[in-house]
Amino acid sequence: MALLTPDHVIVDSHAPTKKAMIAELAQSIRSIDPDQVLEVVMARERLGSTGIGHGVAIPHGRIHDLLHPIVAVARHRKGVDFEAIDGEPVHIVVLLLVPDDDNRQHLELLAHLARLLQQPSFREQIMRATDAESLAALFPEMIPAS
Amino acid sequence: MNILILGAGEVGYHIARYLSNEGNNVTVIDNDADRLAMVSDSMDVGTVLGEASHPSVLERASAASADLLIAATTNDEVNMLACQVAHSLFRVPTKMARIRSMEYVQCERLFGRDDLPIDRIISPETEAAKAVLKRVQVSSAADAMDFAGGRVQLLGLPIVPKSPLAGISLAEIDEVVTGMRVYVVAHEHNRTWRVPDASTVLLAGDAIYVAISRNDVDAFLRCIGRDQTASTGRDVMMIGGGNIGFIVARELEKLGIHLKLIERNPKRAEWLAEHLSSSIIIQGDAIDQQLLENEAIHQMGDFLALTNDDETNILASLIARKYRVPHIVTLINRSIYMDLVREIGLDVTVSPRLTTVASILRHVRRGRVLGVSAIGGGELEVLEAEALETTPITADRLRSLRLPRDTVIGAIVRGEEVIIPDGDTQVQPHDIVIIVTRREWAKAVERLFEVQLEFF
Repeated sequence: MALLTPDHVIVDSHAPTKKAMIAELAQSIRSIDPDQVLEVVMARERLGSTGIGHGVAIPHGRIHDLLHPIVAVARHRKGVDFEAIDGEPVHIVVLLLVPDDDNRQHLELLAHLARLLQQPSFREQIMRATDAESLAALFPEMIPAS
Repeated sequence: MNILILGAGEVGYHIARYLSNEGNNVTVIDNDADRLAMVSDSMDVGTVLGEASHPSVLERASAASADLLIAATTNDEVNMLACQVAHSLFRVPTKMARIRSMEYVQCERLFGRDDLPIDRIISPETEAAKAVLKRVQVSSAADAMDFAGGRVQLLGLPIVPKSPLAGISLAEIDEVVTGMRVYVVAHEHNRTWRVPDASTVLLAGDAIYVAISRNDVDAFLRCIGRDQTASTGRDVMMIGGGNIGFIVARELEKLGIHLKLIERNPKRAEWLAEHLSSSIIIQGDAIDQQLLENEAIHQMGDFLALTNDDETNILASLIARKYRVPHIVTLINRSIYMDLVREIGLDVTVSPRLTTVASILRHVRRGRVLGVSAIGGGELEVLEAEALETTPITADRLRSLRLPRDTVIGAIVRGEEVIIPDGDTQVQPHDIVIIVTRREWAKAVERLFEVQLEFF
């Protein structure tokens, strides 16, 4: 099962702010109440930004009653202020929602995504992808191989 | 952060200035063009003219991208409705409202996610009453602040001549203050406040703030010769039985204090007599010297001037001083009077507006910072924060942590235990940390409490 499906990809976001961008991504996930996603993820952001530098952010949160992890990705040409650790605007936002259970796998999935996105070549591929399908295909299967 | 402030009155103005200076993206809405002009002339914020609760006005102010809304107009209903509109139409995640009417404030069931969506209600009168009570309870200190639910106190004290603390360095303080641990977190010398270090020497005429466990306050004040009058059985005179006065009176009764309350309005005096139990209510003029004398003002331990008229409060406080009442608290509404009042020697003042500003700002913090209070004329800040897993503050023992300059950890609360730390102490997840720093380093201190990516 693919971790990221094309309907969870926003190829060209124009959201003016961090909050608008997360709201946009939340809207793309039809199966969960977008208000709940926005609330959970923004609450986590207030504890410390998930902008990890190099124009990448991985906002995340636990959602009650979720069966398996969900990933949604937005690409933003101009870049959005995410209060990232390097202060640079963010171009790639990877939203990760996981079930509300105490599972080490979620941490591993997050770490795996972070490692992938730290590779300059992977970021370039995302920025060059021409449509949602090819962008989604860049992401691995559900359970990371590591 | 994108912050929307409704109302450009005194409260809105101060909040806007503070938050924009901190680098936030602030927009102020008001229906008065002159007030808005004053705001935009004196600080770098956006302004929108219009009714603060109207959807079109909030839309023009980009409410959809706001992270926080602070409703601080003088109208309760506008403030509450604006929070509802911001919630329903613009999904503003955090909303605070200033609400004055006790009718609303006391009705807790009114507020919540499915009711009126207001995350925090700031009642100027309750805040002012709390500040007055604090001043009464620790009357031998010039200032006293509660942290960690009251477990830790910060006491502001002048170093008087012949004080056991005069002439000693902080490295020697354990020799004077025995049987308990205290941490001197702020030091004033020649009107300048600094965060002290072990070599700092305290001189008569200086002032300090010490962090101390609530349980040690009485013993500490005894130890340095500032014996606190026991609150039970103390005689207190209060003028003005409005909302603030009533809250204060009710709490003082619980402490077993003998209270004489002077209220001018006969109807209100009657109401007070019905709703208070042990206090003596006197209907009369607060600046009638004969009346005050008849009511034995010279025997009072405390005098609280809490009418809603600043001039009356100031005059009555001066009369109380003439009768050598040892401890006087003066309520001042207009902040322009604050400096003046200090000049004439009334040094314990409470301002409902400024306490409102302070308590709003205390909640406008990111991460696990639970509150920020200013001391020493605003030069220094006290942050109270919860240390979560993965935060830098928990990474090492204090001596090895790289704290910003002029920053000290005054106390740590672990469950019910209060720890006055030394270099070997290590902060653990879920500790509450009370930390003092210079205002310019507050941001850097906040970063110590930010979680890392892997925090879910």
